[in-house]
Amino acid sequence: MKRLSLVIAFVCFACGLALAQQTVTGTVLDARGEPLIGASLLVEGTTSGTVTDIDGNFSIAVPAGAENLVVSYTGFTTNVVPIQGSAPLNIVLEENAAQLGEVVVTALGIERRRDEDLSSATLIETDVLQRSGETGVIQGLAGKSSGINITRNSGDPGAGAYIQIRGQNTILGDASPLIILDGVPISNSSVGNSTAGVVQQSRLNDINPQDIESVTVLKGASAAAIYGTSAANGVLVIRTKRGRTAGKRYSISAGITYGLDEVNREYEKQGMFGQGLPDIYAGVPYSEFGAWAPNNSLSWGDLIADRSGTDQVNTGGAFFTGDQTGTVYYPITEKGDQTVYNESNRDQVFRTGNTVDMNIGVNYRTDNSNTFFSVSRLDQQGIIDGQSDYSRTTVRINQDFNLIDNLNIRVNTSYSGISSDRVQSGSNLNGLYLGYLRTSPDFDNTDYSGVYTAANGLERPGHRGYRRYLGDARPTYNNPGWTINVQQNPNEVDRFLVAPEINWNILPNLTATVRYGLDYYTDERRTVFPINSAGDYGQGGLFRDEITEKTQNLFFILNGSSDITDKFNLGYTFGYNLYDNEYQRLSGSAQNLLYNSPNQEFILENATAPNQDTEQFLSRNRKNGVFGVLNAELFDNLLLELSGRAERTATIPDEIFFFPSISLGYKVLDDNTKPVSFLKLRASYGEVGIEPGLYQNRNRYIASTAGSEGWGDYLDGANYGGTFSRSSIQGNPDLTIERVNEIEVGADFRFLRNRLGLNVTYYDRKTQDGILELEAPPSSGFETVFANAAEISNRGVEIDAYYNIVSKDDINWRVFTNFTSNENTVEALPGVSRYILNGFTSTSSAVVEGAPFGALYGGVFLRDDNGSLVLDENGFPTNAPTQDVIGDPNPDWRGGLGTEFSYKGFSASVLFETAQGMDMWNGTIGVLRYFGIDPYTANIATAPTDLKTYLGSDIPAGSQFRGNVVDFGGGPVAETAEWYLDNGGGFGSVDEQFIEDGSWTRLREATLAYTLPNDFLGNSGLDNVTIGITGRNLVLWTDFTGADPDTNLTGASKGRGLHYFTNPGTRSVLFNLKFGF
Amino acid sequence: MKPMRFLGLATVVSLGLASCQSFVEDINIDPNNFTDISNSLITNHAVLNLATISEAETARIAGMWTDQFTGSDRQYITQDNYGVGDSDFDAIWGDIYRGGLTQAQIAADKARELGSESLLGVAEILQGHYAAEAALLFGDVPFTQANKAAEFADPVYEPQRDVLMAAIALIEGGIAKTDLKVTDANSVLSSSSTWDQFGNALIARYKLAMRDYAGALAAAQAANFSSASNSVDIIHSTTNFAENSYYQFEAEQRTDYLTFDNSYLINLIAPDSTDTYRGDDKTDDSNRVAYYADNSSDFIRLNTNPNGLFAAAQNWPVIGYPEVQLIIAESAARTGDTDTAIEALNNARNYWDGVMGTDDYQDYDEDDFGDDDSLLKTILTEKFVSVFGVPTFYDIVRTNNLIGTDLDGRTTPAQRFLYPSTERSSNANYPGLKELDTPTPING
Repeated sequence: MKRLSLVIAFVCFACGLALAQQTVTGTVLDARGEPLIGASLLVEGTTSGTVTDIDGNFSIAVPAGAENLVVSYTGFTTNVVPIQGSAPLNIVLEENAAQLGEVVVTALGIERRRDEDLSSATLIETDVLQRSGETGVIQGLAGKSSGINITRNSGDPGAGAYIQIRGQNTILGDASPLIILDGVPISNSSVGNSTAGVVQQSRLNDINPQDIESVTVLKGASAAAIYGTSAANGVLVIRTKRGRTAGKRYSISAGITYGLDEVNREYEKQGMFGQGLPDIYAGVPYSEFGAWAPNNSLSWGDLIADRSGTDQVNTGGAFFTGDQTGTVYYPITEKGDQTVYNESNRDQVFRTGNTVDMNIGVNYRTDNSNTFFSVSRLDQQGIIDGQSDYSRTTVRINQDFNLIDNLNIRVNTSYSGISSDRVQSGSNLNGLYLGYLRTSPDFDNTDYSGVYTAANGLERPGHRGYRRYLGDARPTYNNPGWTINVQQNPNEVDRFLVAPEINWNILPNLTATVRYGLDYYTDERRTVFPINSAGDYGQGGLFRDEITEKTQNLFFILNGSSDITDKFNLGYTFGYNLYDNEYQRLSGSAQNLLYNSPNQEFILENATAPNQDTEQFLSRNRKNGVFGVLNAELFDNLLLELSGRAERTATIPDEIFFFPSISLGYKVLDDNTKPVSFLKLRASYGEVGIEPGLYQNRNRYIASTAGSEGWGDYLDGANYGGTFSRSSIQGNPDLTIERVNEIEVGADFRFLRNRLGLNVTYYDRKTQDGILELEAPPSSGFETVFANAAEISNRGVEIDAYYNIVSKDDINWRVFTNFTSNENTVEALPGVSRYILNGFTSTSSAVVEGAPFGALYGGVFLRDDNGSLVLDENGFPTNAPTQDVIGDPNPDWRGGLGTEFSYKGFSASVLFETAQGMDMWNGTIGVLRYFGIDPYTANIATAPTDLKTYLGSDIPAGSQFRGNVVDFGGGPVAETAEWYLDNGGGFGSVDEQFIEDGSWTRLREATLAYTLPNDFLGNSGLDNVTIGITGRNLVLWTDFTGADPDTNLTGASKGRGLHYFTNPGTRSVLFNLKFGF
Repeated sequence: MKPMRFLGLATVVSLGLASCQSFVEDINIDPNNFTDISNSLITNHAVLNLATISEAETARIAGMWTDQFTGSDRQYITQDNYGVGDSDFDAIWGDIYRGGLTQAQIAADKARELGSESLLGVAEILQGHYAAEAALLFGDVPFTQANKAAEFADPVYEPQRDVLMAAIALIEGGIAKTDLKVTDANSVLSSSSTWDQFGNALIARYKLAMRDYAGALAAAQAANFSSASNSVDIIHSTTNFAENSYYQFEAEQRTDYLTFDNSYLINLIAPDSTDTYRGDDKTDDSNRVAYYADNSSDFIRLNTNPNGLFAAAQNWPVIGYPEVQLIIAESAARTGDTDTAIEALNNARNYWDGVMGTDDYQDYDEDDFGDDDSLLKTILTEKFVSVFGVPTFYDIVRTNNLIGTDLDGRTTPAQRFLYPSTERSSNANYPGLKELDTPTPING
């Protein structure tokens, strides 16, 4: 194009010279004031013209009588400029997005106009991605495209998130989409997501979001087929920013953001009844409700308002002196204090978090090279008022240079350094929410550490919590102050990404590329449970994990095109890819510490030899394959694409697997002037796969334990001279790959001269030969066996649409929306009732035949054939002996609705996101019922008639009791502590009671920004200054009790929809300042 | 131009295909786990796994259902009230079959490979033990087809009595093959007995459960547990995860879940308890109750203090001296040999004086018992307060609660453990759910 312009210009110039009567000079610039090189200028009505030079300057001879210059440049609006006098012209061209058209990036990193793309891919641009001010790339994608589901692990700083494109496909394979960063696959692992521990990060979030130019979401199998066994969950193709190839020699852009975060939803706690046992267990009548009992786990005690007012204490014996306030605590002989500490206990735990994010990007170019260099620093203090923070430093250099005319070398390198302090969460005696929420309302958590002085005067350091108020021994649950201030969970990540490539333009339309990518990180995690921590760590524990992952890729790619005839263009790509991944995790620990150091140094030798332990896990995986893509364009409107990959994997080295795809598109209409301006129909079929996991081929013999591991008591064979047993999983040498095939049809419309756009896609995807640990009867010697047995289907509709309501020079208003509906079914799971993905044996997220993937599975009430509850003689329901599906954690549909508005320097945007029709297990509320913390249990009911309690006691009509009057179908009964401590609470056998509607709608983000006018900046040297404010997650509408359902107990794992003392979510306000020069 | 293009293409393709296999070969070899193992390590496991029956979840549920213990917190409240589902028994079944029987069978195979009769004998005694306990807890269970996944993916359930007889035969065969001491071939057990004695003691337990009193008497006498040191105990210490399982559960993991709070056992031996106290002129349980229980907080807890029965370092019997003496006592009483019965009863009682260093139990004589029933009840009561877990559960079921323990609302004892959900969901030969009320064939 450029070359053609030059030729035309030269010819025109030569012709025009003879007739020249006047010379017009000037400069052509873009809106940012940067020179446009090679812009065409044509004297209107003539063939006389020129192009701008490297500084955007031009000089043109204009014949007499000529009135206007027509100035044009690819991707910009064409201007008609009047010729006035001899003063130099300053011509500014506006970018024209419509003309350039939307683009997407293919799986091989090739940019393509969306009009020519045959997939349902969507591209999210840098400004949209960053608008939310999320610190993690993954979170920034939420609500911005159809077909992609983002769920946060929690609101902890640096917490990872779960990404799912379309529905879940695989039981044992990786759940994350393939991430291609600048043409190279990188790791997005999230290691260690479970029901307890700390909230884990996602490795994709190591990348500085400011470095990203665009993210393309490839949802369908056909678009991803060239990655074969790596692409069953779709692909995210990420491009980072590059140095400019034209314009100013250097430019700098920088930004600073300051954000404030707070917890967005909390559990309510009752403040009426004190710590202690309920009537029946305390031996008091129902009318007295209960009795105070120190150190008891329950809050089923006395009515706080009935107390005398002051505690009676025994000052003659042992006591505890708190470190935090210096208060001395004596044994309480009679509880009289009426103070309710819910508020102060809450304030001990939460604070307003803050984030400071600074970044600077530098563009530099020479005639033969261009460079993008960026540095960023993020510091985040979490909403938990303790050791909860995340800081990330990144450096990136993206370098391009032309060695010779047709040989280009490109090197992308980046480093991310992360250090973070995390807080224990989940089903964990040392976890934050567990200790905090269970704390009785009449217990003050302020002093969590101190000195216990025994009756004989001996002193020792102690940990005080509501289960041990004198701190004489470790409490059963941590005081939350101890959890967040004394326990330590530091984490350090160093990550390097290096990707050099050479592009050789063999011919004008044939390029050979050699590309290498190295992704290397170390993730070092430590945990310090100081002496006196709850649970196993009364004598302390130190844990260290060191995770290293190295992923290498090598590509040879040949890419060319050829115009066979006028009406037949052929593009082709052939390539070869080597993939090599090494992973290791080394762990060391020391338990029952010998020296209770006040500084809690991390010295693994601080334990006797039997209490020291080391473990390692190693894996290495390799694949290689050849791939090819053929694109054909016939008669300008019929598009055909064929692609395929032939692959060998380490797990099945003696077989080659082939993954084909075919896509067909037809441009029915492409005319800007018509009301229906564009219509393309597309259809595709693609296959991708998932290879069996490593080491599933043989039986293993493993170091063993004996006992009730589920309860935590067991004998470790290492203490008994070493014991090994054959693993409960039977290896299978005959495993083959899981194959995912998908049919996709869609249509892309634009109406009203492209003002309204609509993309609709329907897909039907099926996984066959899904590998799982098929349940085996334990009597056969194994509990599971690896087998290709599952069949999973996903069907759905995806819609993306926009409407440019106003699109004028200085005023733009646009609305956009996306909609996703996915129906997921586990079609076949022969011989298996359920396979637990994650969770507890009582309630889990499981795979069950006929149910959606990840279905919530747990205990149910016993029902008769009519579906009515079977009641016991007291009128209460009982639990069924077997568990069942109790909920579906997958939303029926998700959607986003947003708008952008700009007027001169002002711009504003709003994005709503919704997820509807999914269930979530509120295990937390079930347990808070058990403990008598849930306000629902703090009700003083009056018996309307004679009532029976769960254990068969009588409550006469008219008398008061603590609990609720409920009718299960056999007449009203009294739900008292007896019921909540049994099947009516979270530790009973009926989990279906605690399934709640997890649907939500939220104001995901709202932004307001103002760009200072250029003349205001004057000679300050600044090119642009923008100030803005962003609100994130400001409003949440949900029926889910006590927590933001956009969290998950088991993090970014396949187990979905579980809440059990998970650390909470956040809402945020961010102030930002951006400037460039 | 064209030739070059295709040359390039051909190079890439052939390069790819040619190097393909060598690049990915020999990677899929597990660097983290062995794919074979020695006889000694797997035998040591099969022995350690005995703890799953004698002192872990199996023993706790058995103890709650006989009211030796009380479930006082969380899920244990529900379990104590029989609010169990079949998934509550998954781990127990898995421990017996996958963790126990299977590994013992592999140990036997390894012993055959080594050509060691005596190690084979040990493995057979262990197999017999696991099979018999499975049959007693669950009724009809898989045996001959068990642990043969390649041939029998869905093992059939065989009649309980057949399994018990086969298990006993296996133990007898094992006894004949080995003259090793119990402390040989493993680093788990402490005892002065031989595997021969251990095997006979187990046979006595199983014949008693089958009401073969003469057989039980003969086996128990053949076991020749002449002193307390004959008890076959799992060694415990204060090292993390070598502690007594009761200690780990109650003191470390699940405080207050399992207590003695208002349990029938504690009421039997607590002198201030009520009229349930069993003490008499020759029986003073005041030291015993303090040894068993810790009454210093809200609940009557298991005494996990260093000097308590459930201390961290307290070795715990797989089969103990009191159990064998009381099998002799009951079998002798039921077969008319009152003198032997009373002597064995006294041995069992004196055992506790030996353990505690007390003199609380005076010898009974014939005059202390009005009739045979009274003697039988005294023997079974002594066993109830001396032997925790499954043996007592078998007794309560077999005798239809002769001693009259508190069944927490039930009129008859829970007859069995439920077949696990893991078998229901994966075994084509699963015989259907049998409720707690359904007696197993030997008690039907």
